[in-house]
Amino acid sequence: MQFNRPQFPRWLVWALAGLALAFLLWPLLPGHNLRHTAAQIRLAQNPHPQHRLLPLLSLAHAQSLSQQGRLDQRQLDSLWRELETFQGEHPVFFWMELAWLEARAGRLEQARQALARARAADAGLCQQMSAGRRWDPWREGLGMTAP
Amino acid sequence: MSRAEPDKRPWWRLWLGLAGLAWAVFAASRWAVVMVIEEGGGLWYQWLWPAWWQPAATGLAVLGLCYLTWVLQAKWLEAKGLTMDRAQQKAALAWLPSLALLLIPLWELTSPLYRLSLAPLALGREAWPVAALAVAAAVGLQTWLAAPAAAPKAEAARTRPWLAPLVFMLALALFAAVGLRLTVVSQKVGKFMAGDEPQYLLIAHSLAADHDLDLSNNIHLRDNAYYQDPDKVIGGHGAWSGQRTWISKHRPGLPLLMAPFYAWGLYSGVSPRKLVTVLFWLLGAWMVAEVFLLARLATGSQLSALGAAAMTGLSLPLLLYANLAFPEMAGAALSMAAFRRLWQAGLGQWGLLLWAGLFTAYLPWLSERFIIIALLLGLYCLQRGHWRRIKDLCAFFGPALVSALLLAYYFITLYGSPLPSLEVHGQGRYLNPRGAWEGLSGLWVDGAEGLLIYGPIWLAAAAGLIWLLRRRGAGGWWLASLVLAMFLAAGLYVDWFGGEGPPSRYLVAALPFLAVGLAAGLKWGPPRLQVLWLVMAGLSLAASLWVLTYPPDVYRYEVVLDRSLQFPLLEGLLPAYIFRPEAAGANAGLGLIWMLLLVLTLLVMSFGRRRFNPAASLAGLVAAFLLVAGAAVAADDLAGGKLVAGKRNQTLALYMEHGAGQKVWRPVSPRSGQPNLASLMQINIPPADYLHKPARRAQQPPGAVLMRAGVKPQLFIWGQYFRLPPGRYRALALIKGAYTGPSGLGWIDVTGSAGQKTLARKEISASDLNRPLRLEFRLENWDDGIELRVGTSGLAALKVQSLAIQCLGPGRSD
Repeated sequence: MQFNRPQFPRWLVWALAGLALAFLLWPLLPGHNLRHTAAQIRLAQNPHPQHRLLPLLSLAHAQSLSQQGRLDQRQLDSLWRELETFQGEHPVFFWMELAWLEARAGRLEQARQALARARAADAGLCQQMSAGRRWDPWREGLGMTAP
Repeated sequence: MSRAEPDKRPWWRLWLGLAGLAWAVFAASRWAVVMVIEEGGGLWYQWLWPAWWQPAATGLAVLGLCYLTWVLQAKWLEAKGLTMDRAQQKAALAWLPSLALLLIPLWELTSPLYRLSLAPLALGREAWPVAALAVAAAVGLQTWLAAPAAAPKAEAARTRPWLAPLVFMLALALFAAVGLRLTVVSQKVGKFMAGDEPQYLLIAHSLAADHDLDLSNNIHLRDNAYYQDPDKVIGGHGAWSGQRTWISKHRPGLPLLMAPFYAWGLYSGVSPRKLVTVLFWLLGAWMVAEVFLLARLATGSQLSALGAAAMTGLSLPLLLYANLAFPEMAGAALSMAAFRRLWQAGLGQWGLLLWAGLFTAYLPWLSERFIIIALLLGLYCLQRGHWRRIKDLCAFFGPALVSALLLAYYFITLYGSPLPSLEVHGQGRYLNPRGAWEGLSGLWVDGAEGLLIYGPIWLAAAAGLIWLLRRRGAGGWWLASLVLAMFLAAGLYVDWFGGEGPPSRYLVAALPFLAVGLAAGLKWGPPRLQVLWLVMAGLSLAASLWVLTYPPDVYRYEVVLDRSLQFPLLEGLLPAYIFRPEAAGANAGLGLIWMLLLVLTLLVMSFGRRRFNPAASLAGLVAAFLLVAGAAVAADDLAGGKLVAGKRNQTLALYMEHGAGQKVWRPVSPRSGQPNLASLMQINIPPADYLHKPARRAQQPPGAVLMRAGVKPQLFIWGQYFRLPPGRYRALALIKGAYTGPSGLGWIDVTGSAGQKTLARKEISASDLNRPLRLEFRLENWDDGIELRVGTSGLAALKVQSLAIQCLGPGRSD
C-alpha cells in the first residue's frame, strides 16, 4: 500500500534543520570556554562553602590552559588555603589537581608539596591516577615513578 | 439475515439474565472474603460478609447497568442495519462470555474448604479487575463483530500525511511530561540516577568542556558535581588506555549526541542533566513516529498503527527510557529508522538507503551490543535485492564500512586490538555462569526485572508479530529475527537484567520492532488476541502510572508493583533471580511455569477467525482463567505455599479490616478448639530480605543480618512497605553485639508513607543489645508504606537477628 508523502518543501526542511543544528552547536564553537563559563556561573550561584573549591579549581584549570600554565600566585595560594580547610570526600584528587596547576605554573616545589599531601590523603589512588600522560613533563621533577 | 416476525421464543433473554446475574454476583462478592489460617496441621476458616444491603445494592446496580448497556448495544446494532429483533438478540448473546466471571467468586470462596492453595484467593483479591476487563472487552468485541461488515474505504482516502508529525509531537509532549514528573520526584527524594547514566554524562562533559575523551582531569576536578552530589566521586567506568589516557569503557556515540545539549547546560547555567534529557525526548518521539510509519507500511492500517504507536510510547520500559541517559533509546530510534527505510526502499532509491546506512553505521558507536542489529540490517539490505545495483550497495554499505574501519582504529588505538575486549564489559562474561535459563526466562517474567511485569502489552505484541509473519512474509521474518537476536544476546549475558537501571534495559532497542506486532494483532488477529491486546494495554497503562508514582523503586532489584496490594501476588508467585538469588531452584521452576503459560498463550493466539461467536469467547475466557489460576497454584505449590501465605501482611490486614477476631473460626479438618490468634497479629520480618550493602547475611540463625564496624552512619535494613490498617502496634527487634561502652550504636525506627514520616524512633545503646527491643506506635489511617528500619553509627558490629511488627488492636481515635 502506497501512502501520500507529506508535501513539505524540501529546502525548508533543510533550512530549518541547519538552523537547529547551528543553534545546538553554538556553545561548542571555538571561543566559548565552557569550563570557564560554567565555573563562573557556579561561583555566582554562591555554592556551599564545602563545595566552593570545585568551581575555583575548575576556573584555575581553564585559566591555566588558556594562559599556557601561567597563573596568578595569589590565586594559587588561595587554592592552597581552600584545600587546607576542605573537609569533604576524597581530597586526594584536588591535591593532585593543585600539584598539576603548580607544576604548569613552574612552581615545582609547591607542586611536590601538593603531591605529598595527595599521597598522604590516599597513596593508592594517588599512585593509580598519576599514571596518565598529563604528568609526563614533570614526572622526573616531581619524583613520580614511571608508569 | 433479518426476520420480519418477532421471535416467539425469546430464549436469548435467559442468557442475558444469566449474564447480568454473573456480573451482579461477581460485583456483590467483592466484599466477601474467606480467611484461612493453617497451624500445626490444622486448618480453620471463616466467612467474612459485609452487611447484607451492601452486596445487594451493588449487585442490583450492576444488573441495572448491564441492562442499560444491552439497550445501547441493541440500538447501535440496529443503526448498523440489523432489525430491532435481531439486534436485541445479538446484543444479548454478546453477553454470554460474562458467565466466566462466576468462576472468580466460586474459586475465591470455596477453595480453602477443599484444602486447595491460597493462590486463587490471592488472584481473586488482586486480579479481579483484570478478569472484569477481559470479560468486558470480550462482550464489546462480540457486539462489534455482530454488526454487518462495512464496505472497506478506499486506501487513499484514509491516508493522513500529517499523522506522523502529530504522533511525534504527542510523544514528545508525553515524554516531557514524564520528565517533569521525574524532576518533581527527584526534588523530594533526591536524585535517583544510577548505573551507567552518570558515567555517560561525565564523558559528555569531557567532550563539551575539553573536546576530548580523557576523563582523568574530569575526575580530578570532580566534574560530575554538575549533575550529582558534589561529595560523590565517579570514574566514568574507565581505565588507562594504551596511550595513558583515562578512557571510559562506554563508547563515545551517545555522549557525542549528548554533548551539544550538555554544553547548553554549562553555557546557560541550567542543569546539564535536564537539558540532556531533551535529547532523549526527541529520540523517544522519533522512535514512536518510526513505529507508526513502519506499522502503517506493514499493515496498511492507520488506526492499527496509531494503536501500536500509542502503546509503544505509553508502556514501560520505553516510557522511562525516553528520559534516561542510557544508549538504549538512541539504539531503538536509529535501528528502527534504518529498518523502516530499508523496508520502504525500492531498487535505485539510494537516498533512502544512504540514510539507512548512516543510521546503521552509527549504531556500534553507541554500544557493541548494537553490532548485532547492524549486521542483521546489512543482511536485510542484501535480501531486499540491493546487491544488484552498485549505487545502492555503496549508499548503504559505504557509511557502514567507514564506520567499521574507524571503530577498529579506535579499538587499536586504545586497546591494541581491532575488536572490543571482554574485560571492558560488565563482569567480562557473555555466557551466564548461573545458567542460560535465568536470563532467557528472567528477561520476560522475573518479578523485579521482567519485561512483562512492567509492560504486559508486549505479550500481545509478540502474538501479533506471529500474524505479521503470516501476512507479510519476509519483512515480518526480519522483524522477528531482530527481536530474537536482541533477546538471545541479552538473555545469555551474565548481566541480562541490565545492571543498575530500570528493567528491561537490554530489550529496549528490540521493542520498537516488536511494537509492529501490536498493529498486526489489531489488524489481523482473532477476537481473542484483541481481548488480550485490550486487557494487556489496560494493565500496562496501570503499571506505567504505578511506576511513575514512585520511580526510584525501579532502580532496585525489587518488585515495585506489589506495593499496596494485600496479597503480594507478583512478588510471591514470580521468580526473583536477582532479588533472591539463593532460591535458584524455585526461581527456575517458577520461570518455567510462567514461560510455559506464555508459549501456550502465543500458540492459542496464532489461530482463529474473526467472527461473531460468543460461545467460543466464553470457552476461551474460562480456559484462560483456569490456566492462569492453575499456573498460580503450581507456582504456590513449588514454593511450598509459603510465598503467598507466608511472610507478608495480608492476613493481618484482612483480620483488622474485617474484625475477624470477633468471629468464630470453623475447622476444615475435624479438629476441636481455636487457632492461636496471636500468630495472626504478628508480621515476622526476615531481616535478610531487606538488608542493604555493606550489611550481609549471617551464617546463623537463618535470616539474620551482620553489619560490620567502621562504616559511615547509614541505614542498612529498610524497604518493607507494608500496608497496615489503623491500629496500635509494637515493633520488636533482637539485635546482638559485644559492645559495652556508653556511645550510641545506631538507631531503629518505624516510618510511614515510604519513609516520609517517622512514627517511632529509638537510639540503640549497649543496654539494648542481646535482649528484645520494643517500639510502640499508632496508625490513625491506612498507610501503605510502613517500614521497620535499622541504622548503624558504625561504631561496633551489629547482628540483627529478628524483626517483627505486632498488632495490639484497633486504635482509630474516633
